[in-house]
Parts: sequence; structure tokens; C-alpha cells
Amino acid sequence: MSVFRKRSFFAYLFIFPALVVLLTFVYFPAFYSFYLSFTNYNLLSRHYSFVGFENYWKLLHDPLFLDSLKHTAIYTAGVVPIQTLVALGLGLVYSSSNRFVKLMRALVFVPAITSSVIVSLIFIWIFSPSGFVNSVLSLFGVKPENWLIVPSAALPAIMSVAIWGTSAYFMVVFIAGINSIPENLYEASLIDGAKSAWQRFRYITLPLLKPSVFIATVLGMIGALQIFDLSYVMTNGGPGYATYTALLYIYDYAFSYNEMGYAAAASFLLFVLIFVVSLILRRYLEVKRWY
Amino acid sequence: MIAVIAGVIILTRTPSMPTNPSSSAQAPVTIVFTGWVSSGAEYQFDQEMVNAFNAQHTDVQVVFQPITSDYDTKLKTEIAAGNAPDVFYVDSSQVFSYVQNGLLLPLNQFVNSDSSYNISDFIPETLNAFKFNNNIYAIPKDWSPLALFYNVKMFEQAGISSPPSTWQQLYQDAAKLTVKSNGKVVTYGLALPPDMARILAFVYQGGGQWITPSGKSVATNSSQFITALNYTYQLIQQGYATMPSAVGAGWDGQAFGEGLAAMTIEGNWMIPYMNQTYPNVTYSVAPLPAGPAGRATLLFTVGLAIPYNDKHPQQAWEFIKFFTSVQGQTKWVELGLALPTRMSLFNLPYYQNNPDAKALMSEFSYAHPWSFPTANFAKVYNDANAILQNLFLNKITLEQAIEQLTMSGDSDLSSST
Repeated sequence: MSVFRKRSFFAYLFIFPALVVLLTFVYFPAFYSFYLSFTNYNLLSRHYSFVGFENYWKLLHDPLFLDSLKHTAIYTAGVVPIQTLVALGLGLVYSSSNRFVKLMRALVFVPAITSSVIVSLIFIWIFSPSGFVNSVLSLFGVKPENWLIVPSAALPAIMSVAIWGTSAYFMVVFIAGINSIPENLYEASLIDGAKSAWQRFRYITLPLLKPSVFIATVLGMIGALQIFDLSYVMTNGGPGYATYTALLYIYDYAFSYNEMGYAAAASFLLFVLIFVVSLILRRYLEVKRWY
Repeated sequence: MIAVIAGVIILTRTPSMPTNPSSSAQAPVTIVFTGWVSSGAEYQFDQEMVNAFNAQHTDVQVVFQPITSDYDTKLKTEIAAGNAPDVFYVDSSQVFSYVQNGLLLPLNQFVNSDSSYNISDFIPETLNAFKFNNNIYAIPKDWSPLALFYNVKMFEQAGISSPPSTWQQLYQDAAKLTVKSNGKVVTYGLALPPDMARILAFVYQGGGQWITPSGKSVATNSSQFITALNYTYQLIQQGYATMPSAVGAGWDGQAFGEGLAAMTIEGNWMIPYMNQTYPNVTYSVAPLPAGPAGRATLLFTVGLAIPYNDKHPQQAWEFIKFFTSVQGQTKWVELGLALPTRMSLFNLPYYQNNPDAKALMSEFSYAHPWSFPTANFAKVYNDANAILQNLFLNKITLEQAIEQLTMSGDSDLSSST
């Protein structure tokens, strides 16, 4: 009977259903796909064999895989800092809670809860030759183009959509962060001579928001490295392979080319990449709260 | 909870339990038929075929379970998991990847054992799309060639009396049909996507080929291929043809319907699309113009196949036979605007009253099936299209395009396992 008296028994009992789901649908497929990455498993083939590191070797020698990693890296390096800054700005503007601000905040939040496929379809129009972007640019004498098929502009166009779509999501993180800063710190800083709003922002708000910055950056980065939906719908990796990302590469090899083992190896490499970048970010950005 | 799960398992397992032979006379065998559905109408047509079959048969009943999106992905996983349907659609460009892995049942024994079926009635090119090493792996249910769709009013305005029948005429007509206003092109002569499924028609007209018959290499650096690619490239370069995406259209049919292009190269799926979306556009259909090597077009076809390990191959064949018999084909083509794969149906009154469909049908003897003996087709095709796209966007030169097509094509094909 003693086992039932332990509080931890019931704790385990309660998390058991969730744990089963997690093990079945997250950890088991993850480990199984790691195992498959050492095989030549083909979706259509009835037999497969162990091939050691061959998939990894081939991946690192495939210019298209390296290109897709490059596009993913450019995308992440562009999207994450800008969207974090925009989110911080939005957070500062919309952190108070009068009725007007609340309404505006809800409106600003709409992109974050809109399906990315819908967003993509709308932005295909916006970037089209007769779309919004071109009517604005034509005021400056720029010739109308479909920006999604201009090789040098397609990736930046997709990046701008991502920034527009996710900034509002991270705004919420910053609003929570800003509202959790104790008011008496600002009062104390006023006495200490922080007279201007900029000084209060620079010496109180920003340092105390470091945990929020960390969260927004890491989550943003993990999301950005897994960019798939926007480029899949808006350009399908094109023009040429100009917006082909790591996840599109994995998807194509797994489901269009049937090479599951190879795709599993590619996704494991992407996992390692995300893991390492997260560790680095943690090393430089994470702080303990000191108040 | 456990009881519910157990109940579900028992329920779902029941149909696959071996049936007692003595009771099989009363209990009909149920087989599953799957296909993709491009529209609600197509779903209805498939269902009507199934209903007609079920009404005629007491020993076999067919259940239609369409796959509504990501057809090949879903079908492949079903086959991999051993849950394949008994009869399924297979596209001519995909069939070899199934065949190479031994997933399709060769249908020769059924076809040959039944003289009333008369396989020689089929358009040979449609059968060839599913034939490898003298085995037939799917029976073509319908087909479409590529043909030239042209805007009748724009032809009249440009003073062109008949559709182009040679490359030279196509080029000249495209130039005449290109309309500029304030230095900006408002209508292009031709909408042409950077897609091998269109460009290859020109390659065949020029006497070239893309994937060689061995399926192990490409012939993209032959002079015939280069001539054909250059011809299409010049149309784009001179501004007589446009990629649909460059004018903000999702595909060339839309560019044509919107009046952004006076001609386009498409198949019979254009006819219902135009009738529904652009009923006010008057268009006509003509054969593709002849190139240096004469007339040629591409042929797209969908076949009905049976998986290699099917439990009811005989019943599955009964359904395929029904679907592709003279009566089945008549019903199928009269439901929608499909072209019959049986030559004996070419004189149906239905086609005599439909000149566009008749024009499409007359293309069959010049048609090359869109089917290649390689399991790596999807990869070669994607790579080729990416290169064509870069060429049409002037990101690379014609020489670079040829070099890349040859290099990536050969490497993609040689890595077939």
C-alpha cells in the first residue's frame, strides 16, 4: 500500500496518458527515423538494408542539400533578428491595457492566428504583377514584376511575409515580459536620475526583458530553421531552387522520391543543426532573473 | 476504453478474415477502388461507374474510397503498410516506380485469357505507357494529348485566318498576336510554362528526346534537343511568349482565359475549365504545329492497376474489365469529357458533335506517352523544371541550361537503385 501513499505515484499516473501519446507519436518516430537514416529504406521497396553512413556522406556531397541549408540559414538570419525587434516594438506599444490598445492589439495579432497557407495565398496576390507591392513601387517608377519569380527577390519576399506573420506572436511574449517588470524599479530609477524614457528603457526595461528576448529568439529560430509552408505554397522552392529550404528537401526526398532513409538522414542533420544553434544562443542570451 | 479499442480492432479486421468457401456464394467479395478526384464531378463519375458495376454483379461489390489530396504519398504509404486498395489509378509518369519495386500485378494473364476483351482495340501509345518488358501493368482508362488552344477573337483581330501548323508559323503568329500598349505588353502570343511536360513536345517535334529508352541517361545535349529548347527560349526572349507566373497567372490556362495570352498548349482538361471559368472566351483547338521532324505531341494517361499481393485479383480484374470495356468506356466518356482509349469509340456521335474533342483525339498517332522507364522520374523532372525556370528567367544561358540538364539528368538517372 505504501506505493499508493507516495505522491509521486499519482503524479506519474496522471502524466501517463500524455506520456504514452508523447512516446508513441514523438519519441518513437524520432528514434525510428534515426535508425532509418542508416538504411536505404525506400517507401515503395519491400526490402531494405543497413548502409552505414552512406546517406550522410551523400548528403554532404549534394550541392542541392548544401544550397537548401544556405537558403534556410539566410532566411533564419534575416527573419529572427527583425521579427524579434518588431515584436519588441509592438510589445512596447501595446503593453498598456486601455480599451483602444486592447482592440489594436487584437487586430495586430490576427496574422499570428491566420493559417500560413491562407497567408501565402494572399501574399501571392500581393507580390503579383498587378498586386499591392507593384502598385506602390510603380509610384517610384519600378517596372511591375512578379517578385516571387525574381531569383534574387523571392527569398526576401518570403522572409518579409514570415516577419509580418510571426512578429505579432512574439509580441505577446514581450507584453508578458514588460508587464512583469515591477513598477518600483522605475520609481527607483527616477530617483537615481533616469529622467528620460529612453534611459528607463535602456537601463530597466531592456535588461529585464532579456529572458523574453531569449525565448523569442530561440523559439523564432527553431521555427525559422523549419521553414516549409511559406516557400512550399508561395514558390514551391523556386524559381529554380532559389527558395528551396532544408525541409522542402526532406519532404521531396521522403514523399516525392520515396527515399525515406536518405530523408531521415537529412532530418537528423537538421536536428543536430537546430540543437547546436540553440545551445549557442543559450550560452550567450540566457540569463537568470536577478530580482 | 479497452473494450472500445478491442471492438474497433474486431470490426476493422472482420472483412479481411478468410471467408468460408461454402458461404462465399451468398456473401459477395468486397473490393476497394481508389483514385484521385480533381473535382466534385469526377468523384460523381467514379461513383457512377462503381454503382453501374455493382448493379450488374452479385458476387463482387466495389467500394469507392478516393484519396482527396497527396494521392501518391498516401497510396505509397498504404502499399508500404500492406493496406493497398484492390484497384487504383496510376499515372503514366509514376507507373515505373511502382513496377520497378514489384508492386503491381502484371495483367497479361487476364488480358490474354479473355478474347472478348480485345486489347488490340486500345490506342497502342496508351498501352505502351504502362508496358515494360512486355508486361502490361495497368489498363489506360482515358487519355489526353497536348494541343494548341487559341483565342478566336484575337486571331481575327491579328488577321490570322488559320492556326499555325509549323514552327515558323507559330513564331510569326505569336509575334503578330503580341499586343503592346504604352510600351507594356498586354497580351502575349503564347503562354508557355517552363515545364518539361510542355517543352518535351517541342523536343519530339524537333526529332530529339529527353530521357533515353534505357532510362539511364538523358539526351539533352543532342543538336535536336538544343534546337527545340532554343526555339522555345527565343519565343520567351523576344517577348512573344510568357511564363504564366510572369503575368501573375497560376497556370497557363488561367493566362489564356484572362486574355493575357492568345495561345497556349494544354490538354482536354482545359475544356471544362474554360467552360466553367471563362464561358465568354471563344477559343478553338488545333493540333500542335509540326517541327523539323514533323508532328508530335505528348500523351498523358491514367491506368487502373492491381497491387501485386492483392487478395482478390480476379474480382479486381472484373472491375477493370468493366471500366475499360466498350460499354464502360462509352459510359465513362459520356459522363465527362474524357477521351476513350478504345479506337472503336472514336466514331461515337458524341465526338462528331464536339469538334474540340475530335481535334484532340486526332492527335493520338503523333503522341509520345509521358511515361519513362526510370524510378527516379520525380527527381529528374523537378531538376529539369528548375533549370528551365532559370533559363526562362535569364538567370542562366542556353549553354548553361543544356550543360546542367545533361549533368543533373545523367546523375539523377544513374543513381537509380
